[in-house]
Amino acid sequence: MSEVIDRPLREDEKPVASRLRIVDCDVHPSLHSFDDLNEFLPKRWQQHLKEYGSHLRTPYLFTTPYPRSSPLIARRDAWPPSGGPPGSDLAFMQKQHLDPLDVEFGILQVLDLFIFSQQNLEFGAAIQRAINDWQLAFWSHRDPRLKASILVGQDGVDLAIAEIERCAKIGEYVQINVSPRANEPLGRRRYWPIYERAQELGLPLGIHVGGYGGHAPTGGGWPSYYVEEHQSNAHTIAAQLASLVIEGVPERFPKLKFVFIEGGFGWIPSAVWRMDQHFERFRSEVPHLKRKPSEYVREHFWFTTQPIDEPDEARQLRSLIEWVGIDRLLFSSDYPHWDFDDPRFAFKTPLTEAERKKIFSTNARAVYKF
Amino acid sequence: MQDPDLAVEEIERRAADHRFVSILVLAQGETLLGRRHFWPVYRLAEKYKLPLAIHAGTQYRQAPSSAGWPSHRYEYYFVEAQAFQAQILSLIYEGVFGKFPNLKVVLMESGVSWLPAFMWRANKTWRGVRVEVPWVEREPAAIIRENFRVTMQPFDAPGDAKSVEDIIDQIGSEKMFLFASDYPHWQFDGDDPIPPNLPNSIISKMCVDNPLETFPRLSLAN
Repeated sequence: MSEVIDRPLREDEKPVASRLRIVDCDVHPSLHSFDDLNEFLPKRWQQHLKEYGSHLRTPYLFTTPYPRSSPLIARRDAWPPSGGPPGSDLAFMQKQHLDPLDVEFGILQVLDLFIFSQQNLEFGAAIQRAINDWQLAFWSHRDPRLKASILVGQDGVDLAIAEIERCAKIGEYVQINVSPRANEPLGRRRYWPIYERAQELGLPLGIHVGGYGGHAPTGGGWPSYYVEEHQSNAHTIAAQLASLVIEGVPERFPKLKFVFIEGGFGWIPSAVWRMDQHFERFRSEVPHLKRKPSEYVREHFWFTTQPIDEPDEARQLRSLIEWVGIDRLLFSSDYPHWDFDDPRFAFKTPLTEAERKKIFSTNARAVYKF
Repeated sequence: MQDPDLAVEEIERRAADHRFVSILVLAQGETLLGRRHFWPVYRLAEKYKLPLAIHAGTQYRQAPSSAGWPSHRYEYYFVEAQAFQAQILSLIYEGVFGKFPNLKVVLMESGVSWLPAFMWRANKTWRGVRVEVPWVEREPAAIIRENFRVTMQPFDAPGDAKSVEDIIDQIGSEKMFLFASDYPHWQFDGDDPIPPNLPNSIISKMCVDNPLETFPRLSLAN
């Protein structure tokens, strides 16, 4: 795990201006309270939120099925002095994260209200729409470094497409976010209209870990502890990668890009080897695939780096990066969460200047076109 | 495993017969294998030197992965490896090896190449939130290397010598590997069931020494 900065940086510790400016592909803003949404949410849904709250496929209201080790899964130093939850105060985020780490662009990933997991699809769509507006008004317009994502729930395909159209007209969003844990795996045909529209608009699909789609977090059933659930996030991402590739989504939508966020990247080589190894044997089941799975992965999928793997030896991290391919990796910090990666310390293996530039900046700029 | 009491009865009934060398369970049953209601089975497994053999397979009680029900057999086979990973974490974090330190667990038809990155991630997550499971006092990778064994089919890696060497090096324990052919199933890895480019030092260990150490009752048979 990276070193936690639990105090403001002293002047002499601040990065010098010549250092590489970074693109952070996973920054979590948070609502100060639900009232933040009132100006973007029709009265009916404000009332609904007050009277019924969330309806999720989890056992509790407004909390998670597993206690997550740290309140609001946040760094203990990330609670703003002004009050409110971590990630809710732009000035504090600038002072603690964006300025000292020289973040040139940060991509917003909103997780409030279990936004993707609402069972009432109309309520979910209203909340997503409100949060899409809130990202611009509260964040991007106040600090243009912060880029918004179009959040949609893929299980309401028609509602999702309407929201994508609305936001695309506004033109300030850099990706479409869908859930890694919905009713069905992402490759299933019912979701293809979303991919078709995303491809036409030239917007990447962003998939951030988390959420509760109702399926057990592991293929073996429900674990007892957060320490198990946390690692299952990478499993979900690997399963979604396999679903998209094997169902033939990149074959059908050859210009579509996918970014997997907060799944880490250690698991990728073995996942791709396993898909390739068994491709020959299962080929007659999937005749729609024209190429080996690894070829689709190398052209259509990108992966954010946090939580970065920490092998026993630095050379093993080096082999891992080479296996995945340096062009596939986008730096992310996960600020303000407890498992945050600090860009100065996260990569415990030597990288050349050119490699650093790709991971910390140019790969993301190419995917997101800024 | 649907009824641990009956499982215990059956193990007791067969224990004296050394032709039985392990206790076989599925990778995807009704609940994760670390749960305490299974512990009477592990108590006997340790007592009678019967490793717990977890083989690929499912009761289809829940979706094969957290992403939901896949369309193709190919996807199902792919995500099966994740169920083994979930079982390892469950057995470790529920405290099974604190209670039964000599229990051996054999992963059968799980794939092999995922082990290094899985162990790195497990160590890192444990370091971050071990306060939740204070009874687990060692890094998960150390427990995996000591208490788990893995069959070498399918290996799931490119055939080049450098990649194979790196994976073996990263797993960091030659005693974990067990030869397996999967005969007569169609996933059988071609004419030569030994994955290409394995170092010679591993081949003799995985074919003879390691199985005899993992299944002590093999030496007692007859």
